[in-house]
Amino acid sequence: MALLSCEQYKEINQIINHLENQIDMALSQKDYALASKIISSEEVVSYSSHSSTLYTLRILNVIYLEELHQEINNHIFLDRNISQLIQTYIQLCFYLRRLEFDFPIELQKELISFITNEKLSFVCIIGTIKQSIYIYSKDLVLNQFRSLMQTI
Amino acid sequence: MINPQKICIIMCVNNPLYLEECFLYLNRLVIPDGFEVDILTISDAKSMTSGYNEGLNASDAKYKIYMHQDVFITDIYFLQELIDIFSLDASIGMVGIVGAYQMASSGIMWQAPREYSLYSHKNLNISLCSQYTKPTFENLSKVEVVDGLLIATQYDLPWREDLFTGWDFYDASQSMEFKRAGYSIVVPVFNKPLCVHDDGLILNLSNYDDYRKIFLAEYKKDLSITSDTK
Repeated sequence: MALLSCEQYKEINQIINHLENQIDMALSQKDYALASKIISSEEVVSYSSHSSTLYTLRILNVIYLEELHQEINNHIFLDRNISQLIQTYIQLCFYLRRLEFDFPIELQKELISFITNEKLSFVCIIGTIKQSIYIYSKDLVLNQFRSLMQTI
Repeated sequence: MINPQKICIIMCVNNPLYLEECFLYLNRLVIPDGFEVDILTISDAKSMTSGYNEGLNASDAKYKIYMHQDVFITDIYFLQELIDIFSLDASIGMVGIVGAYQMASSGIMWQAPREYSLYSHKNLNISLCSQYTKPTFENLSKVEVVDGLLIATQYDLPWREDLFTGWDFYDASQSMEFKRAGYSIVVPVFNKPLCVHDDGLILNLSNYDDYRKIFLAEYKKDLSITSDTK
């Protein structure tokens, strides 16, 4: 990883802020197709190596496109701004990691309430397990998740 | 008066979501017999060094663990193993999870070969996390600097808040302060991961270069850079 000067980082951060504002605007206008298009743009792909927000939005965009493909109405972008999207993703990863590290069942079950409250699709859960770099034993988490779903 | 039977975990925090999850992992840790554990959170720190100094001055614990809120300790015997590492050799002043054998001449830690005890795709073996590992000189790697994701100490040296007024290089600086004081720094190599560092993958390096220059101005003469990397 190359180290840039503080001035270069300031310029990059300005561009990132601009891109995030554009995405947030599209989300607030419920123009999810436009939000997805901006996230898929070369500019966002390029700057996502400097922004964990853009990086996470790219993961969520893959999920959104798959949800669209499967005609899921409660897609991940629905009624969320960037901040809410990031919060939801982080929280989901936390709950999924509890499955990986064998937390007590009552703490694992908080995942179910979270999915229900946030109206998250199975495509979203599976997509997060597959794409998150901080969920390591993906098969294990997937199996644990399936077992957990059978308990309800 | 320092309490030799006490461990204090010190964190500068700004995200309740991460903190709450971090606590779930901390609450699972096995507390060594005869020890007590405190957790100090500092939520309004001006810098990492000032926050850590606040924690250092507030605690009488001999053993202090300075860690990020996005670090989730998965090895439930971590505290016992830590105490046993420090008990092996009084000259071990600091223990880290990630460390560089020698700091790169650029002052950038990730440009030097490093030792890791982090959970990653390369070391998937969850069962190992529930087994105690006895520290020996063979399963500890001596390093020059450690990453700030988690730093444990058995001696108190003040953090250089006079130089490092942000969120970068506090870790490399503190490593050099321990080196100057004659202590060694180690990273355990237990063939099991000790924790997950959920740092969002991409670091904020906006001020990194400025602090790198400050670091090199202060410590370059102390670095054990080999001739071929100078």
